[in-house]
Amino acid sequence: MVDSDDDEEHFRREAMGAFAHELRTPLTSLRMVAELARRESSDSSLIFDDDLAAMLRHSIHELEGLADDLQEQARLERGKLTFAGRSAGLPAAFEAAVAMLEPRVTLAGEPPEEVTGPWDAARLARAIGGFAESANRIGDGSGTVRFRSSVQPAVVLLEFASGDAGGEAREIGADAGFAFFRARQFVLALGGSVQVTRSERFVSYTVTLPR
Amino acid sequence: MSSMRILLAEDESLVARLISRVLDGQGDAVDRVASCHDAIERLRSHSFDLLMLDVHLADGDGFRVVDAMTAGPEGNPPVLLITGDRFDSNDPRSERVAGILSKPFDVNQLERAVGAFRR
Repeated sequence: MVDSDDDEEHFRREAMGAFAHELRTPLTSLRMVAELARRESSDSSLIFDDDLAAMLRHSIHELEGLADDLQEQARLERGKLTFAGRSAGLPAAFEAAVAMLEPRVTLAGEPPEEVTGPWDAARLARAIGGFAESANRIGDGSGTVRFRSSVQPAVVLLEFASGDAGGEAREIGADAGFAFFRARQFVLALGGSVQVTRSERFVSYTVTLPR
Repeated sequence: MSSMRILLAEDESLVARLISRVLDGQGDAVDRVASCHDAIERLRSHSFDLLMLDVHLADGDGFRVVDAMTAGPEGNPPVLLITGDRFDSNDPRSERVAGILSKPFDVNQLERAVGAFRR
């Protein structure tokens, strides 16, 4: 079992690796769109048919999103982004996350009970989605992630799990996806924690949110 | 130029569309799937000349597909791995595939990589 509060440097390195990996996809699209647009022209200028133009816009949008994510990650790490005065309900964030995940990933389990906390609603929903998507990715890949929640006096516990426990323990790595590291940084910025348990085809994230 | 039947396992839809557009233009028949599960099922029921396989798919490591092919009957297509990772020559996984196409690649690199498998 890896305690995510240990070895912060490991998480930072893996987050950079995950980000670099995800950057390569829109860059691939941009390179291919540019070449295809050039080929369709007889004088080496660029001609974008509607399909290529749409792909170009999508790739640029993807890159902009990654840039925004990286900037927010940096701000969260430096404590430049705070959530003082904000309030959000956990069930609404959970429902928003479920909608974002469909149809690729299903959260199986009881929805969380009604509880409000000093959280940013949109970011909380995105974080829940990020943990679920990551768990499916490095767990059993079945598309179903087990979910449990527990409201305690000072904190809320959220647990995401995929696959069957057992086998040799593994550390979290870049293959968890940048969404995991982004979600984790958000939780840490709230004063919470994320515990990771991982083995060959199993992963469990236990998220502690202060309330 | 001989055309091929290609199974493309890539969960990034835009990249998959672009690859298909290029290969369709060369006369290849491209069958697209987005998961290890679907790739394994398609390989069991259809015959392909080439498998283009993303190393990271939504439901896990693309090498699960290679494992299933290795454990299954003979006659499987060669594997061209698509990856944003950096495979060096010492990585034992590189010996399990016939070619590696690293992201970000362009159209010329894609054509050369696939062209290496044309008879």
